[in-house]
Amino acid sequence: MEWIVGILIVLVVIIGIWAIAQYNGLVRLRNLVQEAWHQIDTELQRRHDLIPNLVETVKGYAAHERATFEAVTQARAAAAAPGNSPAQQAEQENILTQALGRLFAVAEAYPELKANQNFLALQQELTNTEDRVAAGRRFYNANVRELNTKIETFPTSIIANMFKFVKAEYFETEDPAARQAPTVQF
Amino acid sequence: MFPDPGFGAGEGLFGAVFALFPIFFIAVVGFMIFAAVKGYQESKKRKAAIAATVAMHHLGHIPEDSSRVGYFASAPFGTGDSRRARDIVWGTLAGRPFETFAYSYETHTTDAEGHRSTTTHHFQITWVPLPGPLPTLKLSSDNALLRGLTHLGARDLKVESHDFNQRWKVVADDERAGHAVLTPRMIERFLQPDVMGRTFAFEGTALMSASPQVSDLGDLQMVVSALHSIVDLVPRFLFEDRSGGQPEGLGEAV
Repeated sequence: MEWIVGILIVLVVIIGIWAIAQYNGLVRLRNLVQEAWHQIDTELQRRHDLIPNLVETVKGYAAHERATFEAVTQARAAAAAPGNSPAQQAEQENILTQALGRLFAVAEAYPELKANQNFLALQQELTNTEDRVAAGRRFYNANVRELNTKIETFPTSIIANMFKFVKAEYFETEDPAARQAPTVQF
Repeated sequence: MFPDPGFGAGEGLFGAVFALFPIFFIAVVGFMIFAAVKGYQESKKRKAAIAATVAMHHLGHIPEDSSRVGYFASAPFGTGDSRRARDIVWGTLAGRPFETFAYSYETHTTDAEGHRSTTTHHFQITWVPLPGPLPTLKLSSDNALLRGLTHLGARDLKVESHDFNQRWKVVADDERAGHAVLTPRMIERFLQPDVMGRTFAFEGTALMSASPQVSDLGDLQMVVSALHSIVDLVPRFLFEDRSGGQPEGLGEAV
């Protein structure tokens, strides 16, 4: 009889250790996802901060392209608004990317603008920032994938449900590197 | 009175074995001599091919240098003993710098009867400098031969491409930097046939590639071109975030 009690105690201890390990793993992943999101947020803010200067530079050469400038300004404001979830932020950033694409398409028609050092520097800085956002997105999504898989798969799902771990949202944006400057033909 | 019926048969069998043994012994020795001669001829042919490549492209060459065995920490370095780096060749191809050498090490096993056997492992190492230092990132083709060279128990970085995850095992000291390096274009690059069967390691200010067999440098141009195309796909901001510099020893003899 005593050995049955002993075995039960050992089993309880093993299950307890396993549960603690799974809980800690979920906490670690959740923190990693949050940290990765904060990193993306920092790079997105950097991107948003570059845009007003870019718009002003293009305005100096193509002031009549008002609709394009307004679209960029509105998209930027929406993207920079606080409180967006990752999925909502991704949607806003995609709208902003499309608006920027039209802005750069406008710039293609002005050779003086394309040669402007300030414009070139801003364009390079924007590309740099978008590369950082893309890198941050891959890291964030990889950790989201791992967290969500752990939450959904048995038996870790028992611990996840018990301690109210929720799945994280992916951050899916268009790859700005795929944006090609249109060929302007005269 | 009655002869042992088995006595004649046993004697016949023993006689046959006794007669065949010298033939078997001669065959084994003959094969060993053939293998040694063949190996020597292959080595001579390889050295002639290397000399021709060095002359054609005005490259530097030294026959052996022990300092190269400690150049990298990633596999296949840091394993075994009697490590040697031979036929070190360096210079530029299409204006891009590189260095390559044959690397070998020995491992020893002892069987249940206490017999020790030695295995020599050969690799062709080729490396190119990076514009700046990066955290270590190792990519190995996910096959049985090379899988054993990766760190046991290390996390395999997974990307969004199933094909890439199937073909490559990726281990990164800094996972964030690892994901930053693995852009969609980089992933696509690593799905091309010219990089299969090799291991790659971003280590310090170098990108190193190891092939599990010694080369006569016939594929040197292809390998160097592949390495530089990979370097060109690394996002520049990763280098800007860290200080840059040329690696030591590119082309320098000890």
